[in-house]
Order: sequence, then structure tokens, then C-alpha cells
Amino acid sequence: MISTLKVERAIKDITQEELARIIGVSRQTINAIEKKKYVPSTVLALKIARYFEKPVEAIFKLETED
Amino acid sequence: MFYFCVKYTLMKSQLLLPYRYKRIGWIILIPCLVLGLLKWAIINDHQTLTYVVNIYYKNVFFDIVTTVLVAGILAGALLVVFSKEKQEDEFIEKLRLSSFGWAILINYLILFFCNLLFYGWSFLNIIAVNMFTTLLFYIIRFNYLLIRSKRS
Repeated sequence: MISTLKVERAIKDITQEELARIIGVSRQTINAIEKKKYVPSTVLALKIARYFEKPVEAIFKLETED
Repeated sequence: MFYFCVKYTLMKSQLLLPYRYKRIGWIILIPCLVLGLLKWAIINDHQTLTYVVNIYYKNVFFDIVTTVLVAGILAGALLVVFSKEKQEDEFIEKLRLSSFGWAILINYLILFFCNLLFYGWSFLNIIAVNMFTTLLFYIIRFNYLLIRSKRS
């Protein structure tokens, strides 16, 4: 899965810590998603998308091998 | 009250205690583990026999120090393992599950090879230690993964 979370975060100029606090997860979770070590659940993906006011597909996309 | 607690935990489908129990667990676990290792390694033969009246055996002599230390290690380790992190979320849950799998696998692999390599009383000694190793391997693995994901 491709994740543009880091880019979106840079556009909004918000740290991992702040984003994690707003969404209600730990900072490790945001970090793991950005590092492609963790695929978020649908609920978490929707929450992230809602914060950035974008559809989920704008932040998380399928890769060819998925 | 107890009924509601059980119902709540089953509904949330995770059997985890609040975060504050983790600290209590560490406070019980560490001294019991250190004393237990000391007793096991150094003063293995010296037993403080205590006399109790037991309904099943009428009367028994048993080593009260060992009993207390084993109870302490198990209670402490269980509290550490089954209490929440400060911020419990789905990623932590994933780490938790993968650590459980890892701990059980490693534990039984070691037991498998020990079964082939050690016999008699020495194998019995290994089984005695094996009572705790699943929980201890879990604690080590889970905290290692947690620290590693915090750093990067």
C-alpha cells in the first residue's frame, strides 16, 4: 500500500505527535504507517482522511502487488 | 460490579487491565525474579520447611520461600503482560499478538530441544524454569518491539 501521509502531514505542517493526539492513537502508530510497517484499519484510515478533509484514496492507494 | 467488568471486557474483546496495574506488576515481578534466581542458583539445597495442615494431604512439609517467590513471579508477570500500555491502540494490539506468537514458538522450540538433550532431574529443572519463560519471553519481545518503534 502506498501512503502519502507524510506528504499530507508536511502540507498541513503538523508533527506526528500532534496528529496522533488529534486522532487518538500513539505516535508509534503514525510512524509505523509512514514507514510502511503497518497497514491501518479501515476506521483509522477513515479518521485520518477526515482530519485531512480528503477521500481515503487520496492518502492510501493500492500498489500493483497488493 | 464484577459482572459488569466481565461483560465490559468481553464486549471490548480484550482482556486487559488498566495501565496502572503494569507498574504494580513490575514492582512485584523484579524483586521476586531476582530473589528467585538467587535462590535457584545459590541456595538450591537449603529449604525452609514449613508445616501446614492441608485438607487433601492431612499434613505437609513444604518450602514456603519457593511457594511465595513462584506466586510473586507469576502474579507480577501476569500483571505486566495483561495490562494496557499508556496509549493502547490497534498498532500496539498488533505488536501484542505478534509477540505472543513469537514467545510461544520460541518457548516450545527451546523445550523441544531440551527434551532431546537433557534427561532426568536436569530436565525437571528445565521444566521448572519453563513455567515462567513464556511470559518472560513475551515481556522481552513486546518491550523490544515497542522501544524499536518508538525510536525510529
